[in-house]
Amino acid sequence: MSFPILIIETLAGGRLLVLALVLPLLGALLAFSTGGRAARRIALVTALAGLVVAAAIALQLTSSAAALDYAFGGWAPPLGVSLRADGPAVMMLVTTALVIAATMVYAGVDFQPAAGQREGRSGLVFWTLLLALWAALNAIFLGQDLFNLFVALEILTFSAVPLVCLNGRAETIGAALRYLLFALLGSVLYLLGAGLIYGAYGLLDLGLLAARIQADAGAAPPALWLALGLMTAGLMAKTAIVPLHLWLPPAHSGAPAAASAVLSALVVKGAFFVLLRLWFDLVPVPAGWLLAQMQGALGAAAILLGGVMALRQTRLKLMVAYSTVAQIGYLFLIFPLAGADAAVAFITVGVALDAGTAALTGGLLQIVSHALAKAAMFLAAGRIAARLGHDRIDDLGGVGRAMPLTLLAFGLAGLSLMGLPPSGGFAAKWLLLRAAVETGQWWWSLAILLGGLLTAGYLFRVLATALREAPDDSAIADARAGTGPAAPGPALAILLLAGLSVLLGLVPLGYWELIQIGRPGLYQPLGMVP
Amino acid sequence: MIPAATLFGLGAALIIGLGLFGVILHPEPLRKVLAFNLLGSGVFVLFGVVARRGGGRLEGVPFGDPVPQALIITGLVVAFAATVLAVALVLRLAQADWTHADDSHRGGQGQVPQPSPDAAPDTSADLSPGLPPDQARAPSPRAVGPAAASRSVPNASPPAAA
Repeated sequence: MSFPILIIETLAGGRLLVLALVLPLLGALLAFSTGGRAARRIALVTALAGLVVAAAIALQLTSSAAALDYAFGGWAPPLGVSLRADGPAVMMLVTTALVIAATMVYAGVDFQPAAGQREGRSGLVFWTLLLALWAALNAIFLGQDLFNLFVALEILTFSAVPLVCLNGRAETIGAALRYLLFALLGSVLYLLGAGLIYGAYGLLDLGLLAARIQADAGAAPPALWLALGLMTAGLMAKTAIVPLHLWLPPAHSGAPAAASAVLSALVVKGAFFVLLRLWFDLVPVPAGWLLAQMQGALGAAAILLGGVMALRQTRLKLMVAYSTVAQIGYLFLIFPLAGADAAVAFITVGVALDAGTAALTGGLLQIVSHALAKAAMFLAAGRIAARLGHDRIDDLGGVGRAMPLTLLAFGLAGLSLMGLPPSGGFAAKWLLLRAAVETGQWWWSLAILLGGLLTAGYLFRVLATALREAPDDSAIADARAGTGPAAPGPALAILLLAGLSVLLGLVPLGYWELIQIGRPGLYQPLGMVP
Repeated sequence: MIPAATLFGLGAALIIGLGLFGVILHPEPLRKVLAFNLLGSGVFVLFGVVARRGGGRLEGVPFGDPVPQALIITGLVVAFAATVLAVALVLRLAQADWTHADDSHRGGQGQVPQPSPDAAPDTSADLSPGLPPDQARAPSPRAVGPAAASRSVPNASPPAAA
């Protein structure tokens, strides 16, 4: 047996999924124990290997057109714990690997110690926590066990919170503490819900639970609905949907740029992904018109409030953080749109879709395009702030001339956030908009369109100022004279992220059928809460 | 006669309610952390009730259900780690406040070392060197949590006392 075949044999049947979990975790342990300058090298090697693993999983999924399953130790649930990679999970795995790898390229310069100096503590903490965070995210995307998802969410929180206060200043420690308290309240509510579900069914595996719940549809015990309510509330606090968004702007704007990028692009999506699993996999009947409308209303409120708050900010990083609050709002429109009458079908861009599929596809595209665009935007804001020594929006004049590549990336990412064609954000918002119109819920389309206008407003303010000529005595002149040519790596990494978020919109819509892999019978007719 | 499991279930609900009340309404971070622990304990008692009664299929089995007990142990470890992290942050916050109070009243001769000398390049705030620390941290981080109203660090000396 030749060597390549041996590798394929070894990694067949979902064993690659184990690698996706073990690799970043191993990297984190190695980076922490070796420390010093080695931490950065270990992180970069792990990132490369992680990218390869994510791509291999995606290839295996598309070639087999079936979800990949793996049961630990050969013990099938309910006794054992299983991993499962379906379409959405693989999409998230690939996005996460891309964003983390690009962030590492950026941070390689940011956290580099001066020549002859030992690596600082903040550098070591950053690399270790970034890898741990990656492992936690992969565990969330692949997890099928309610309790394991809880543990993954907690690892995610524990690695995300210290990233907020890496610079050790009082205000960032305060922001981190506030973030931690919100996140802990969220996870304890989730754990309570998981306990109630176990009490009612004696199961924790999502697949088995879904089958049981479907079997006694309409006669589900009240404990199930109580549990789902608690878990939803908890996950909403972690996702920072309005009105539980208070922790997000100070935390995301106070962190170092590389950490902000990962927090805003990926960490909030981790909690949201569990929410999707609950409402689309666990409860196959999108529950209750009223509940879905309420979730949508919170989403619409987040779009408008986040947009208005972003417009009012004077600091670039705070503006980008409030923009995250707004963009998360779009995700919550999935619930009323996908939960509506799924029989409504329509044709867009030559692909026939039912409203439910359109909404879920649009929502997932929004997750991916926002992850890429927001990571690019935070990294660009970080570079601008590092160059100018401040990030006051009104004093950005001359940035366009001094750092054209960075500003270009910022603008491209902005295209995707606004939802202008041909960006990925456009495809996402177009699908949501069509679903809103076709299901007769026109009020959501108002929120989507107004949100786009607000986004255009605050981004135009930044771009218009940055393209102005710098005043003579501004810091930018000193900065231009004082620093030599910067390393091109970070700028290219940012440009890559921003470019991908735009190019996403050029992928033919039919290709996104891959997110349906491994998800049979999702869109049942609407059921009511008993 | 109320069965023991029901009694314990009601107790768990009471503890969870008390903990939730504390987490949401107490303004001080340390009290919030303690309330979070109370809330967690309530959840673990509930898991214990489920273990005693047997979850779902196992309901009524005389020997009980070991799975929730295993979950409690894992949950305890996680809650312990969360508490450690939260208390560490509260301590650092108090320390930073203390340093700051000393700085502003003794002409910058702080006795407690400035936190994290090898801090990462901070990109969020104003880095202009002439700004005194007072103005640099004007938006006070002391109020933590949505209902925070009063001073949040109980053991930091008030500025007037220094």
